[in-house]
Amino acid sequence: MQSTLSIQNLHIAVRSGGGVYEAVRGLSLDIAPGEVVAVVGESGSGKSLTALSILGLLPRGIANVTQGQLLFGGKDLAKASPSGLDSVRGSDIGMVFQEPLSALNPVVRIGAQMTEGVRIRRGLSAKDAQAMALAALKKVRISDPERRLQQYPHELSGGMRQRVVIAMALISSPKLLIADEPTTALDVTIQAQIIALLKDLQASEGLAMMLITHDLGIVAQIANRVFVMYAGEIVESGSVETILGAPRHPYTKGLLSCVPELSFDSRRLNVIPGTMPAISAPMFGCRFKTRCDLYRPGACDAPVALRPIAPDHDFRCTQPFAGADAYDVKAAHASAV
Amino acid sequence: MLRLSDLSRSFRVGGGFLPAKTLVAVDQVSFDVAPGEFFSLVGESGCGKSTLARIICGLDSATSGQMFIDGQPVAGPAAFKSMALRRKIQMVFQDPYSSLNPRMKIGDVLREPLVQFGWGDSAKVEARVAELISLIGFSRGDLERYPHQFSGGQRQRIAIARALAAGPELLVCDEPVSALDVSIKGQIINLLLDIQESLGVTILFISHDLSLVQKVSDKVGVMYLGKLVEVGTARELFDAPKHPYTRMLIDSIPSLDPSRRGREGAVIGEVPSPFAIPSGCRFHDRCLLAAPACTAAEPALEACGKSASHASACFRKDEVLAAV
Amino acid sequence: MTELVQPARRVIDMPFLRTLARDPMLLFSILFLVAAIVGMVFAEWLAPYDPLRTSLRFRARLPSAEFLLGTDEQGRDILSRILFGFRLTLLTSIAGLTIGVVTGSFIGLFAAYFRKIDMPLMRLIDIILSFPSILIGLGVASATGAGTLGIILALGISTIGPCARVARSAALGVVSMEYISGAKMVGLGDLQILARYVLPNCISSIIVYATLRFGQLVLLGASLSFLGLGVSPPTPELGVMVSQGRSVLFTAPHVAIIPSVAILLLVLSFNVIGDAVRDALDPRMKV
Repeated sequence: MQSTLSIQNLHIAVRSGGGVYEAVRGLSLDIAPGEVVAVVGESGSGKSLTALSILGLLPRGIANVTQGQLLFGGKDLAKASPSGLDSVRGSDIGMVFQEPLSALNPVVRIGAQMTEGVRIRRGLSAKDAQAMALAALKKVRISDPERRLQQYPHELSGGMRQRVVIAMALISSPKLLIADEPTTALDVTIQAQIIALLKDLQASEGLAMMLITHDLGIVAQIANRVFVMYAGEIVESGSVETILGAPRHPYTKGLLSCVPELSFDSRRLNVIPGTMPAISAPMFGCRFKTRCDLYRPGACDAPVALRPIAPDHDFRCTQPFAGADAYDVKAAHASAV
Repeated sequence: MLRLSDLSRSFRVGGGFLPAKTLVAVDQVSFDVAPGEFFSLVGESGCGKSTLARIICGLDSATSGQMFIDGQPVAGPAAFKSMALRRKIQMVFQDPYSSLNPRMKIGDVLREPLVQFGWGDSAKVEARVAELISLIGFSRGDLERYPHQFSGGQRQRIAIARALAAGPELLVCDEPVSALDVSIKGQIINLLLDIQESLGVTILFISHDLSLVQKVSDKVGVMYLGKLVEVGTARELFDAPKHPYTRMLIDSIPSLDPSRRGREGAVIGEVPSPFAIPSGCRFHDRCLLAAPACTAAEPALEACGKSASHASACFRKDEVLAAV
Repeated sequence: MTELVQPARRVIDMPFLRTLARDPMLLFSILFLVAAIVGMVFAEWLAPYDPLRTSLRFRARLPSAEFLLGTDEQGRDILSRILFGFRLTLLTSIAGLTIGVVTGSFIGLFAAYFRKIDMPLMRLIDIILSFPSILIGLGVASATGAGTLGIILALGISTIGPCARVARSAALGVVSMEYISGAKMVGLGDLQILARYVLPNCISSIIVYATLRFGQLVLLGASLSFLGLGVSPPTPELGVMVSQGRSVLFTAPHVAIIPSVAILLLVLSFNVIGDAVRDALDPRMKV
């Protein structure tokens, strides 16, 4: 089956403080139709740049794709012309950003904003476009959809605004939805509702999703497959059960151990010492070595490739771990609630 | 150490072209924080926790009610003109990128409170600065640097050092780790715990992250639309919540176990606008246990069973845990 | 050292020279301004001729060995007039700029910080702003009589309004920052906060505004002089020289063009140096 989106060997260069550095190196990932892929990483890992690059939204003059392919629907988006990208944006690929307030134009009514894109692209009449907007709002289960069309963004709450943004992304029934930290700016109860909504949409629309987040809880709730990014590279990838249940890479394990899970053992939180290296810092070999317990001089100072250690489980590390070390999330849960 | 009694804060919004409306940000909140305790205040946006924090720190005044620090009544920001009181309570702010003056070197950032509170001559001040720097794990050379040269987590540590400089008794932390990465949050939290345990500083921790709060707090208070709806020890609250809103918050925490999906159906609706607070119990329009009595009158905060610490403002508090 | 996010490059001991080497515009601007100041201060010794001495024989001559920049429509040596002219132009513009910027900044910062007086202060500023600068000049001239003092006051007063706006908007951004609350937490008084926290963080906007305004003031001073409100014609002043050169614009354009170029270079140098000063003051650029 052909992937909905296939990223091959993506390299993104970024201009910063007088120099040009690679912020994303050699990233490859595939999203199958109807699949939810989570890209997990912290700030500086390059995950947002990856998302922006798919739709050609990298800030011009600051960042650009230097190598690689972004294959979607038979076309390579990395080489597409601006008009080619235009036809894909909003109709075949929808995007949802983190901050719903800045994604919406505060001086234009919701209905007008939603119909703008469709009317330009498909030349629909105002009435038809309104009908599509209304249908989209109903899909996202917003209360009182007819009234929302006439309202301004500031009249809606944060959760409702995010629903509107999702509706805008879905209005042309895209095949792929890219969501960059869609719930970070929302309250935790609203977050739960939005995640439930996205899951339902995946089921009802057959929507494939690329979900970018740092919140492992959300990943557990909605993702099918997970790609963990660190300092511009994928360090581990696999199904959500594998990554959350039996991760092998020291960073993934570290990340999981930092979550203040539902247990009362000790009060202290786990920490991964140090910070992610800046993109301008020259490094040889494994990018995680400065923070890794298992650093071995020599082996870890040479470039480390992404290798499969099990079917559908790749990771980038010089040492495969035996079962005893593997952080067992299920056991931790069993001892809790 | 800190006692709040029916503290309220309302704002007049509008006037001019728009009709003036009253926004009650904090509504008769009362609770106690014992010395050396780690007390967390949780709630979602609009619940008034940040406003309350500002009142406690003397940055804002209360419209009614009273506040007591170490048993002494504190009238309002005017009382904070006394350096003795100012010194007792310090705050760590939420955004590490705007909580430090970009034009001040770190050394000066730490020296300022010491000079202000009359720590002593320059030798004593420098000694204290050296102490603070090592407490947060930095080195002497960092004193000459500017905030923009440090990461968010490092800046937050600097902010904590500054707040600790003159030896406060109460440290109010307003969402100190919300803006930080997962692997960095722990550094700040552990530092706060060290401070609490070794220096005996009381910590008032404001957050929306329940799983974090559950792990580190001694006591927890839950706020909703300006009211304190439940308070108790962390264990009491999370093992046996007695308010439907607390229960809803706990149920919203996404579980890390992929095989346990689908529990978020428990969340209904959204927080109403603070201008349109529902009558009676303000949570009734989202509550699974809502009964006619709940629309008529507002439940008061009452002790739960025999517990001295656990209290909840719900008519049907004992049915919360069992509800499906 | 603690691991830094931005690795610090070693700053050499003479950062200034390094900056100059990288930026020829800045080098030129500094040299030009220094030359102008030297010329202005030592005009009596450097000027080849008496700037006021007219000569019917040598009217509107092009630049030559005798008259390095030519002569104007009344036979006066342009170079000498420019050297003396710098004096008046620079002094009046800088004095006016200083008065206006200092007063305007004070008003703007206070308005932004003390919200209660914001409204009345800004209404007052609006009133000042609604007067065209020429009218302000007229008003001032009638109070003080024509002359240099009049021009300086007029330039200053007309700058207060826009500068207050600029300072206020910069300060509004700063006042909403959490570090202001942090300053209150250590018991700093309002004036201390304004001086140590608000002003340093607004200064770059104010400097940029001031350098832009300088150019406008040079031109404004010339207009006022032309209208007879300030310096009167025989006295050399760059703006006046330009407007007087209009009478021979088609026959001897150099009479107007040369002082115009002098004004242009002056304003340009000020802007470039102003940018450099702003960058030098910003700690973020120090890495």
